[in-house]
Amino acid sequence: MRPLQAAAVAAGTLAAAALLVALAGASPLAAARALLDGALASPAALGETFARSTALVLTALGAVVAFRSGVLNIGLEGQLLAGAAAAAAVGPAVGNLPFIGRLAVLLAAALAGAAWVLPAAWLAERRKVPAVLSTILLNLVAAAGVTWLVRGPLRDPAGDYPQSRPLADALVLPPLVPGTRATAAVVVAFALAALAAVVLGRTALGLKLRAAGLSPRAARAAGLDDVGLRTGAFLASGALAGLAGGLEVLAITARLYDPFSAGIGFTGIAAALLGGMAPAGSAVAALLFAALGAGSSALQRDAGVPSALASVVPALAVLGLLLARGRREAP
Amino acid sequence: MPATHRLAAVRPARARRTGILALPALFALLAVPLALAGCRKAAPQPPPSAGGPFRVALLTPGPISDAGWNAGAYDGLQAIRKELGAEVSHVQVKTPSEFEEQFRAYASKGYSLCFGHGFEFQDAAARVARDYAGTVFITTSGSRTSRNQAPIVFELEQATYLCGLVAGRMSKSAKAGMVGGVEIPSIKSTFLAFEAGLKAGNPGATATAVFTGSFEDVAGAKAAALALVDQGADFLFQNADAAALGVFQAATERGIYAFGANRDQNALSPSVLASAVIDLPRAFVETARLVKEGRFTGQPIRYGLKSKVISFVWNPALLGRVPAPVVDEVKLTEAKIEKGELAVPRGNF
Repeated sequence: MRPLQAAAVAAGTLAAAALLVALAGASPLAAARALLDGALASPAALGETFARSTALVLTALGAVVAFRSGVLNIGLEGQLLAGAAAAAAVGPAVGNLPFIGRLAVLLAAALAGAAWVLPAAWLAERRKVPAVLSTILLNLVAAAGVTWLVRGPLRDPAGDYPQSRPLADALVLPPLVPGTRATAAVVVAFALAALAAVVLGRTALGLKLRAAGLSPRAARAAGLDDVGLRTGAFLASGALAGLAGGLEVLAITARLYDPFSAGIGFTGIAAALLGGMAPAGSAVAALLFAALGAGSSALQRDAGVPSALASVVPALAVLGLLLARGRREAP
Repeated sequence: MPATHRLAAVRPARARRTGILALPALFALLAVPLALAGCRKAAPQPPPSAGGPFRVALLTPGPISDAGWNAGAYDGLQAIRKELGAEVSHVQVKTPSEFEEQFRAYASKGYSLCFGHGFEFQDAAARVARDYAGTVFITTSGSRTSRNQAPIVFELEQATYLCGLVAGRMSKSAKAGMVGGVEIPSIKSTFLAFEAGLKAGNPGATATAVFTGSFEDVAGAKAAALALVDQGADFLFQNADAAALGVFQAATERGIYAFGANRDQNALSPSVLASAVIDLPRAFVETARLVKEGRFTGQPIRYGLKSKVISFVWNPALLGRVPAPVVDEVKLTEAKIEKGELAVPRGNF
């Protein structure tokens, strides 16, 4: 019965997506082919999916680390922007020493991401301000900050466009496979997912974090410093999102722009939820979201589906997936 | 259960320290792939096969329903389809990380020509142009060039010079005001040309520039324009995008003339005497024709009055109030610029 329900949900989702595409005047069959082509069908497409997955995996990990420790960090988008801004500020200054330069850029990005968490962490622990609220607001501050930075202090004096100065070519990560956009950043993201899985699932620290997340009072009664654990996890979560922003600059854009991110931090949270708040599952879910993103840009390109609709189709797919999962897990 | 046993024994302070130690460990891990990445160079891809259909792609940074910058480019793409029989495709990119992805996808499919609609597309175009010699990459504005990449340069200055000339001839106070949005080189360059035209029309005339810092702030632009009028200006030039409406309101209130810029804004207000216009669709069609006929050389593609991409358009409703000698002089000067006998100054950007 259960597989039947899942199949019904999948069929329903597909039918809805096909209907929407047809209403927009494009061919559903061509759309389906474009979606697959853009995400998987060639080394370049696959590389695109992996390139897009980097920031999603890292922000999803950030969500997992925070949520499992009892902190609802909805500010990953802002922390990612803080990381990207720091990377764009430090990058041009370190010249073209590849190893030291990259390390400095990523360190600055992670620290900036963590620093962007500090006000929220302080407000949460000292003033009982819900992290959901403070981090959402800090997202807005970060976005405004990027707008200001690219027009003000970080602005590239050459040319006419509000963007930061570029990183030296020697600093920008080269593609692992020529002709694609997948760089070592992808390896970093998935390695960190593996590390997070081990730390969270197999170490005493992970157990303490999860204990603090499940019940702060019980954790405190067991002699744990729940405030310290929560704050540490919050900062690590911010650092992961900041790193996502830093790697985005280092591997893909080489500059800070405005707008820099189209909601990567929020999609990362969705991936973490879809992945069951576990590092490995979230990484897989992030890869799925990345594939849908790459596929949906091909929807526009090759099937003539309008931009607004191109992002609706993958969203429908995810809704269908969640629906199927929800049914499976219902008692 | 040993884990729980240890857990109970741990002191809070130590727990915090372990948490902090996790970060450096993460970074040690980062170092490995970064070192491995080293400095490998991307191998160039073979050029796409020539001789297929002429295929043209357009990347816009915003929605094509904006009735302005992006809509003009999309109209150009559709005109390329109709006039040159090209196969066309369009994508709207949301963030810069998508620029290179889309260029690469089009180039690998053998598109002959990719437009990136804005200065910001230059870097991504340059990265992809290196790998795909058979595709030409054009950015609307910019400066980067290579064998298969160049910007379109709009010489709007040639038309704003004519606006200045009119103001110089007709101004009673010999003072003109210029209202800009953000103080950036392309805007300042149109002011430079306006001022040169003003002085050509009346060597004793002066122009004052004000930048409001915003292309959207209508009220700010109006306040700036009113201040300029209070200082004696009886002609207003503007290059402030949507905020231009504020300048037109100020001109209407004080009964003086203003000029339109970028689009034909003559119908927007009874104060607009003439407009300096960019015909975006025409620029796209002419550029695509250049590439299709194999005349593209990797040099910036300049469009001025001669190409009709840039034009100076009188407001027909107000033309009766312009002295005939001024109309004639504008026509004469226009011809001189088209023939290259008169070089209009422009900023270096």
